[in-house]
Amino acid sequence: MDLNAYKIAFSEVLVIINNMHPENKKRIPKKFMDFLEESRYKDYNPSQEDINLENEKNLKKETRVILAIIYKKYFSNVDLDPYKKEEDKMNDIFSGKENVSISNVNKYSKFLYEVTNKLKRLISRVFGVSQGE
Amino acid sequence: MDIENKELKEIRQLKAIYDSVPQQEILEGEQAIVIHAERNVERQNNITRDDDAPTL
Repeated sequence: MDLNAYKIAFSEVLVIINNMHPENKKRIPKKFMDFLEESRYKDYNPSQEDINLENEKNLKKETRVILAIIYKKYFSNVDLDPYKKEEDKMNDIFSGKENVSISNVNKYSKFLYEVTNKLKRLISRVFGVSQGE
Repeated sequence: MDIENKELKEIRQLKAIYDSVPQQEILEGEQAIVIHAERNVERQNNITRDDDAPTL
């Protein structure tokens, strides 16, 4: 294991994290950022143009390893397709898979209709008024 | 590209990197992090010890 190569990787990873979307940057604990800053090779300050996720194939092996660890620790639980769930749900409804919930709505409406009718009958009996009036 | 797409795109890029790195290399990277963290603590302890040493 080449520990100095990791010191260079820490410098590159810091550049990448510092240029990330603010919400993504927030997912990485300050303590880990401090660790990278403290452990990096201080004389190596790569530019964002050279080191970024867009040309990830050009990143050093150690840099890719640290980014993989960061993904595993702080990003692996992120839902990468939040709209897909809604889309699937909608497809299920129109393909008939969601009939259960629709029939539940129907049952509830029927129940409300019956209760209302019973109340109407009770009121008309108490006050002696026919339902039509 | 809207902001939310940029956020998800970055995570997808990280995932692609994670998927392409062999688990053995990830283990090695974790060991490297631990070694560097221990060295940082040791360095800090040495600085504290030097500060505590009586001046002649």
